[in-house]
Amino acid sequence: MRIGTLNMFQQGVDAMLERQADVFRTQQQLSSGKRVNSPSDDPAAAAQLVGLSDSLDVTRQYQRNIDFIRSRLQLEDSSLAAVGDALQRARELAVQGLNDTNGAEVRTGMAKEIRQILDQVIGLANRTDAAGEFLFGGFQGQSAPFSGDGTGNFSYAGDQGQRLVQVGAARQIADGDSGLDVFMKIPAVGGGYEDVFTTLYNLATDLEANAPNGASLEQIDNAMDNILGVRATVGARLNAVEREETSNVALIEQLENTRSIIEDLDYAEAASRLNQQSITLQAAQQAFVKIQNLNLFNFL
Amino acid sequence: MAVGLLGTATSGLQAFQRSIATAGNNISNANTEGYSRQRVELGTRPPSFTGQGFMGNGVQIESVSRLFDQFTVDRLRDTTSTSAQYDTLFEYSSRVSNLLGDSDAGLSAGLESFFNAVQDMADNPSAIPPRQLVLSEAGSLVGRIQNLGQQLDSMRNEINGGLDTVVNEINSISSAIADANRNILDAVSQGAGQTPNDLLDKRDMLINDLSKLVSVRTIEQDDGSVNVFVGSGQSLVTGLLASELQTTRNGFDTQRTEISIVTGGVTAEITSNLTGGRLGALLDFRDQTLNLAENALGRIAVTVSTEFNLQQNLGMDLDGEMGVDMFSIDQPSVAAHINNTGAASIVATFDPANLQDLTTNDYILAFDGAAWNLSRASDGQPVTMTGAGTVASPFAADGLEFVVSGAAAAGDRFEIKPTRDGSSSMRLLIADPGDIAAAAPVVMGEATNANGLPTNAGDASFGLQTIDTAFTPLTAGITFTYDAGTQQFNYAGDAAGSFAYDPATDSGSTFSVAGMSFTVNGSPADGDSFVAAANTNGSGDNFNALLLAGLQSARTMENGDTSFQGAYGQLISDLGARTRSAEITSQAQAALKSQAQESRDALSGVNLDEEAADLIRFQQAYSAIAQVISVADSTFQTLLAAVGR
Repeated sequence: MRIGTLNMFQQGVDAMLERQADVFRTQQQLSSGKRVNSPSDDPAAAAQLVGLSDSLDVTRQYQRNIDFIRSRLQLEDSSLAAVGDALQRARELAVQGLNDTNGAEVRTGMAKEIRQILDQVIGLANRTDAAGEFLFGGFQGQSAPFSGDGTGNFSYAGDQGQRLVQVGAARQIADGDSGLDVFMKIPAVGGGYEDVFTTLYNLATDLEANAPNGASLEQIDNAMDNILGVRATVGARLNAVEREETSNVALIEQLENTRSIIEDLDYAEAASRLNQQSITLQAAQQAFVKIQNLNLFNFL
Repeated sequence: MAVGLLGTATSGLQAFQRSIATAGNNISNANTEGYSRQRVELGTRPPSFTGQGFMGNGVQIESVSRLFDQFTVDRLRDTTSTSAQYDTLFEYSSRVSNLLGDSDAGLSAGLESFFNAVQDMADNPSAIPPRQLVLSEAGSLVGRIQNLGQQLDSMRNEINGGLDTVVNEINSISSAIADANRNILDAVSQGAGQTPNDLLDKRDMLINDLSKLVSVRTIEQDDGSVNVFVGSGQSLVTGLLASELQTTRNGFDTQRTEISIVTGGVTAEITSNLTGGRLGALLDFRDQTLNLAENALGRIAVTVSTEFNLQQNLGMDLDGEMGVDMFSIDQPSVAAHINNTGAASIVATFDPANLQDLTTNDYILAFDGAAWNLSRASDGQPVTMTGAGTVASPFAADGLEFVVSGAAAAGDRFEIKPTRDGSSSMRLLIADPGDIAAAAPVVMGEATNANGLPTNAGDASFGLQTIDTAFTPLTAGITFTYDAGTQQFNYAGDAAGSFAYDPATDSGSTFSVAGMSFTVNGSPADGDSFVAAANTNGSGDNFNALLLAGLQSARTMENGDTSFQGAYGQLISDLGARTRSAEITSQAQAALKSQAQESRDALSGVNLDEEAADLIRFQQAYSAIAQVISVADSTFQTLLAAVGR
């Protein structure tokens, strides 16, 4: 078959250009470390990568949320522990106060300590977090939820709101408890509810009057039970957060793995491909030079 | 006799000289694109009759022929056209898919950062810095979407400008072909039947150049001229006359360039008939890929904005007010056709309740004299509408609503591009971080006394689930009181009524009152009451922030099948597939073109080795015939010497 000289030249050049494009593409993959460098490299993979990136990102955000809720729950737990300790001390004093070997003077001293405990518990109940938000005010985080009028009337100005935090795709966990649930909603010995502050106040008042009331011990026990109950749910939530974190970590690992399989380059394969492509390019170049030198005019 | 011999020898000298000259011409044009090699066709001269018989009189040149095959040339032209088309298509498609697919510039990262910021705000709704971050991320999301929209817009302008250039090139080539036709006709009439090879080559080259711009068909006439047709048979060159292509304005949209042909002073739009070449690729890219990209991006902008606004409106901001719109977005654009004769006008709006049905299509709403009909702009497929087109009952289809006012004439048409301007029109409306509605407008709980002590005897509880559009802010609040005798909750306050509640069967069920949905759990005692009150100072509430953040994964698009990111992923994949297909076709066409070139060159191309061999052959023949002259001379000298003695 006849071949036009210009055509032969052009085909040689085209072959070199094509080989060069192959080498360039492999080089691009090697330098980015990615198999898919533009959507057209693998359209289906490109769409999957968008989805994977989204899932990864949102799961990492859940982990951030978890860091946040954990610190809130830990702060609540330590606050409640301190309240529990204070109530424990108050209970000891109440037990001692009931002992009739103690006279009025001793009981007044005890009452003093109980009033200090009351101040401490009010302080704890009005505690703020690092951002200055009141822990036990429900959604009313900007003003102190508990106050007393100095004559034994205590009131709660917060609400019953409980904030949820997204810790997993289908999992929201409360990051606190309202003051109502912790300090107010304590069954009263005589029926209804009595807040923990009134309990302490009455205890102190009774002791000051040298007239300890046996029922006050039971009321303190009710308060301690309530605090313990709330602490138990906080612990359970911390555990749930822990489990959610573990499953998020596993999910992130798995998503990263999938992304790597889809997107990442097999370096060994790419390196050997580059090698092979370079050889082919070299061969095309050498063939071109050789063939261009073959010309009858050289012999005329 | 010697004179006859000289004559014979001279004819040979001439013939071989021409042959050498032609070989030289071939060699000179070895690198001329489109040149067909030429060959001197030799024949014997008419013999002289003598008594002894016919004596040969040497050689004569019959013609200088061009080695040429119409079939291979046609094939080369077709593959050139398709190859140019897919090269161009690949060039533009890859620009769009790389732009939108870029992990830094694309939309993905913007959506992710924005929703991350919303989640951070949900963790800490009363603090200002996370809210500030939401606003700045919303700003950069809007900026990103606008920027992508602008890039696509400028690509559209570039293409409309490119169409002008291509049309000018086509016009200059087609008038050059008409000129070539004239030159060929002249040459043929002067050349007494000989073909003007170089002119024919030149004309073939012009047609080949033309086919790079648009797909053409040619018909050769008996007189040697060629007629050239584009599209579905519109004549671009007829003999010595070239018709002009013109860029004209679209009837709906003056920004959109259409292509028309002017024949005998009559202009006819032929855009949809034009295929192949650079022109076909530009039109195809603009009307398919670019429309899809811009509409799909706009649809995401519209859905993000609308869904976010709807949820914003259901929440309460830091100042205790119901949330205001966070984003603004243009309603669907409607354009009347320039030839409409009626007085009707159309107002198109998004239908927030069916927003998930939005498509990436453009539509034509046309009046046939009796009824309005909706169809897809791309392929004319009818789309079913409901409603009457009035304000009370608008036409509704695919997440859109249309209200018609004024009287239309039969044949009046409107073009609706629902999401085309979505990306460029998106704006952030909120500047105050306190305006983000993170809280629910209502807080629910059990009744308490003045000091905040619970007063209920039972263990029932109320839990807020959702707020819907029927909700209006509470002033007095609503108190729900349980009547154990009738087993129902009676409520009074901002709304009054009752609903049945049997603790044995209804615990955990959801009830809806005055735009609030809530669950009731447990056993209430008789007279127990629960309160829904305005969430005054509820800065710590993140109820609505969680719902805002949840929009990230909510299936709000493609008939409720996918999320914002999912729709974006589909767009990337679609564009990637188009680019890939253009790339593969372009490679295949390049190979076919190369084959066609090879088979054309196998016949018509110059081979230097062959020409070198021919040179040697003709040179040898020339030397040999020169010897004949020398022999004739010496014969003559011999005779002279004999006579002179």
